[in-house]
Amino acid sequence: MSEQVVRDILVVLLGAGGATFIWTVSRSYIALRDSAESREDRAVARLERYEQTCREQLAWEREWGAYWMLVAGRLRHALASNGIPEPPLPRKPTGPKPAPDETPPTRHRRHRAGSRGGAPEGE
Amino acid sequence: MHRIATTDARLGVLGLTRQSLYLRAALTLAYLCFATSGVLLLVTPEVTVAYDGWGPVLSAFMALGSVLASGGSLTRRWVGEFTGLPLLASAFAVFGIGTVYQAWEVSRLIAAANGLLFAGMVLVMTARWRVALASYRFAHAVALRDRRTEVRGGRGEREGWW
Repeated sequence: MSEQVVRDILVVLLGAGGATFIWTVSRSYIALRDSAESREDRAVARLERYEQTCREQLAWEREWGAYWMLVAGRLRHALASNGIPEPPLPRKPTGPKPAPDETPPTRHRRHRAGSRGGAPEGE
Repeated sequence: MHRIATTDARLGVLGLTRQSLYLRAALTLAYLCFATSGVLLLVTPEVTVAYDGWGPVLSAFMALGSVLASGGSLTRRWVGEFTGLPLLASAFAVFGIGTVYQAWEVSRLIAAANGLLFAGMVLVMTARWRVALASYRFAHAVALRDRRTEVRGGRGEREGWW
């Protein structure tokens, strides 16, 4: 085998390694970018579901609050109709109203290897 | 998703398996040895003489590929070995062929032994790269699946927001 042939083989091998390197860099960038976008989309979806659940909970509590106010009104009317004095009102709670917690819950999932099957084992 | 995961029992404090800890340490040190070798060859003028103008390229491939692979094995990310091992494997292949060619006239047995040694190293690196490729495919497939299912308010996840 002549020296020139050997050198050609070496150049081809180096070229193949370089081309593969460029391909792996590009694919890694695409995969990491898609993973980041996927995580962002999942976070947005989770926040939207949280907001929807909070709104439903608020509506439910308002409905029941209105119901109990009507029940209390009927009972007051019944007492007043029969001349029964109402019991004294309880004391109002003291202190400032706490600020609402607007932080949505986050799932601080620590990555557990193999918890969902995981990536192939690095053997 | 970016980690090369193992499923064995864990060491409580470190959060790693004994196997993965040994693999991580051994691979990192091995790649660092290759990187040091590549740097030493890069500053050696004899390499340029032996491989003409491709000597620095060969050394740079070895150094850069080893640094990427050692960073990947140290941080347990598939990206490092995925990008670094092609460079390292091609550098080893070139080294092996060059060594065999130069030693062939001196001693054919030694040339064959050296050639087989480098061929074995190239195959081991190819196998290791294949594992990183599988990790890349898995990570990319999961990311694409999450994006394709109707993520915004859809069935992207089975459990609720809690």
